[in-house]
Amino acid sequence: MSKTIKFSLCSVLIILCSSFLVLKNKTLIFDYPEYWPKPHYDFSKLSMSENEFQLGRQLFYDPILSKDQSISCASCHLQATGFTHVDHDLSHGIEGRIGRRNSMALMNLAWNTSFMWDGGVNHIELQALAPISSKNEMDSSLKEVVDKLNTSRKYKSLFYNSYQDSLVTGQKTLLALTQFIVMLNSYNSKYDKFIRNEDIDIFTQQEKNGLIIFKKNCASCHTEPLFTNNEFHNNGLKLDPYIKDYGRMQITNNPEDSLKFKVPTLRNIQFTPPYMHDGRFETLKAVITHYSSGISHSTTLSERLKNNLDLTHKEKVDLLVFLRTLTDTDFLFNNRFSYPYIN
Amino acid sequence: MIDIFKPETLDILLNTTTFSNGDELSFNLGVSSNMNRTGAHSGALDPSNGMFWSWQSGYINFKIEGISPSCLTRKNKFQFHIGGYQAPHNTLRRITFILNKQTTQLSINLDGFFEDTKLALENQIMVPGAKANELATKFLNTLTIIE
Repeated sequence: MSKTIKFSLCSVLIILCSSFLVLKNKTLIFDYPEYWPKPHYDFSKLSMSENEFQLGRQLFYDPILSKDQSISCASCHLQATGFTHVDHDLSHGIEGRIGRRNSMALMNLAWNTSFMWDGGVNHIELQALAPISSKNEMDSSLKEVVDKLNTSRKYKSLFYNSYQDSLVTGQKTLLALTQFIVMLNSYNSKYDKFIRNEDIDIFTQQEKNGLIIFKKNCASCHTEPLFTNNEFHNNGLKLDPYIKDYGRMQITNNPEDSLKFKVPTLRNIQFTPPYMHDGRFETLKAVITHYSSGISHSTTLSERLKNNLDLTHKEKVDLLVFLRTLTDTDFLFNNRFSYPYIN
Repeated sequence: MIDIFKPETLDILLNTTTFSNGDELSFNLGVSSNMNRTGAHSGALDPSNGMFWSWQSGYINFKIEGISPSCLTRKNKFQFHIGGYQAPHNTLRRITFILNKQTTQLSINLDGFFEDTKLALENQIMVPGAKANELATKFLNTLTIIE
């Protein structure tokens, strides 16, 4: 009798072990609502494996990427605030250095056609190069990072698990980071549940009004469902005389691109202050006030902003209330994206 | 990737099985526009090789750096990082030579590049654009076949 029990216990253990192994090497599913457009990114270089995802997650949270091991991606891109920083207007780097721009929120990146406020980075796999190399951020180089990772037993083994080769290369480092950040998708906000009719009563009358105002006044740039059209626009912000940031023009050398910046997504906007490329507005109220009465007119100003946003006080409040429905707590508190305590 | 300070990168073995007089040797100096648009690559195109711009995606097709007393710059340095794949300033160059011998030396004589470059005025080109495009063409003057 006891033998039988032992035997069955044993087989239970074996079954448990094997299912654990299967779990460890499982294939990732890139999921998104079926009514969304197809992602811009083609995924062909990613393994879509759990191991590569976890390696990318380790790298994302590891200050080893910076010159003096003090700053990680997560230093400026914190999950609870939509993977951006709050409290500072401009990003902070090693040794207390201050950058020139507000860090961007990270989500739904597979739909982005370019990266950074000026669109200087043309591909998600190359995005991490910018903060790694920037003097005011990590002040390192991909070569330096690869050399450090190649002396780490932990990373040699993680790279082996992901690529069946423990040699760390620049390409693999960038791909692992991509495998992590491309999975940071947000599509379960109150707004999404309303659009999907998951709960008919989920939106209050005020939120419904706000959505109508939004569609009429904001959606031509902050286009649903991603809440960005991926374009660059001059949205009437006066040039900061200290930073002198001309945005897109610095990449294209075209004066017609002067003062144009990437249209950012508005998803999780409630938790991603401060706003704009230089973080000049601390509240959404200040943003709405800017579009109503603060537009600075210059030759490259977006056609769509030539007339002030003409809203009553009540309409402004409704719009603000609607913007808060874009908060997705499933995303902001998803354990799979958080700091990797294990390992 | 050829590095003038790494002799092992200067010998290129082409595994072609046949050779006859008059064959063409054709190669690209630089990285194709497609490879500039398609993310992180491996080997010679691995961005960790230091031939890739981080703030504005794109490969540096060639670098020439040095010191000249004509440069009134810090430590008299000049730096040319030439790249850019977008029209009208695509700096990729296709080079073709007709060959008469199986073993061929491709000579790079930098005089061709510096001859009419006024280093006092022009000593730092590190971004894509019209200037980079001009220097990419000028670099062609440095290449000859010695048989």
